Amino acid sequence: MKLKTMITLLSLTVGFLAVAQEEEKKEEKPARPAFESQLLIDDQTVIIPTKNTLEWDIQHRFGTIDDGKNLAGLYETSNIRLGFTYSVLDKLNVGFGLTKDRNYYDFNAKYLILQQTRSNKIPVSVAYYGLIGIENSDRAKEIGGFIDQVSYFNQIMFARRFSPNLSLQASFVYSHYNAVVRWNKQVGESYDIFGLNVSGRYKFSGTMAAIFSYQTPLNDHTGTDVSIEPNYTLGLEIATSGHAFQVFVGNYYTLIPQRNLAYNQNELNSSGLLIGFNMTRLWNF
Amino acid sequence: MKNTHTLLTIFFAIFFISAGMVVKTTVDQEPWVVPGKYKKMENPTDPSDKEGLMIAKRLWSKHCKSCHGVKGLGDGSKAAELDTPSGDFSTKAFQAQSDGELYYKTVEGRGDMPAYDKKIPEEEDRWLLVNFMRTFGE
Repeated sequence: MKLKTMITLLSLTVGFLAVAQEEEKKEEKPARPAFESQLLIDDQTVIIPTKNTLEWDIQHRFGTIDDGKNLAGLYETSNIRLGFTYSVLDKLNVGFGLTKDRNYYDFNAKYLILQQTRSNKIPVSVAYYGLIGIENSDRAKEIGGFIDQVSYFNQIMFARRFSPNLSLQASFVYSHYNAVVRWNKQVGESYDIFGLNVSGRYKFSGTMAAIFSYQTPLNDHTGTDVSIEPNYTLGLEIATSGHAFQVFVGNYYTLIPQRNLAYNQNELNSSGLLIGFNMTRLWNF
Repeated sequence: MKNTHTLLTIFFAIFFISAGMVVKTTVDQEPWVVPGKYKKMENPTDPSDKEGLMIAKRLWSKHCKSCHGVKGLGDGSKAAELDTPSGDFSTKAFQAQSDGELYYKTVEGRGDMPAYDKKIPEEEDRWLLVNFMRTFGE
């Protein structure tokens, strides 16, 4: 009788442990993606497409809206970046890009450090993004040697998918220029600029979402009274199986994040605001 | 000059009539053999779970709707461009397939139908999508 009781208890314990283990496995599932694309307007997101995915990014910014005589900036000089990223691992991708404004070329990488889980044991996804930009314009070449044309951007992102509709992300960003560019004939002597980005999306249908981004510097250049302007952007995102399309109004013109962070002069008015769009295309291998 | 005009009119008439005939041509789906292992697979998700169906509806909008249509009738905006008709998911013949068969076809793809193993990496999401396809037969 005693033996029978022991066997029953043992079976129940093993059964309970197996169920508990199963539940734990279930609980630790990663949360569904917080965003549709690696790009959210002028910001990066914690998203990294699955391993062996190639992404082509087309980023376009029209000229500033101004008084509307240039068809809301559509007839003004525009800025374009063509970028490619490849997911080497599920948590790591590498990429490069070419930008029209100031003939930049860049190399970048993103690593997913932590992934939000459905059980909320890990409440946020955390990712690092780094970009090295090389300005290849004649003006940059006059400043000095190759090393003076190089600048760096670092970003640490914290994103949370609050619901299937709402996702928000906050990031600390940091840029470093090897050679400080002078503007308005005044000396800007800060090689290092820190900043904060807050971005998000609210889905209102299976494929469409309202998107926003706010990016502000946390320090300013010394030796000048010209201040760096923050970016305020509002837009619409349409995502399909292989594409994401974003159209928005904001006041960042350049497509190199450290240039935006350290040198944006566009204010939140018609002479600073502009229309832009991003398109991404995915190929899985 | 008049002859040239008549000839051109006849040419365009023949061209558009021919084009119309091509558009009306349809091709039947070849039989799609599903391995036995998949046919017997059991769906681990709850088909009545409302949240699951909502997630699946969004996946359908993003990945499937453009070819298969809003209600799975095969009338999506891209359907006319396909070499093989995408089928009517509301029919008894479609709904008679096992969950495992629908899962296999979604994940593996064939011809015009892409494989979704990379685009829908979560296994649970694929099964939720199968549950959503079942609503077309109701």
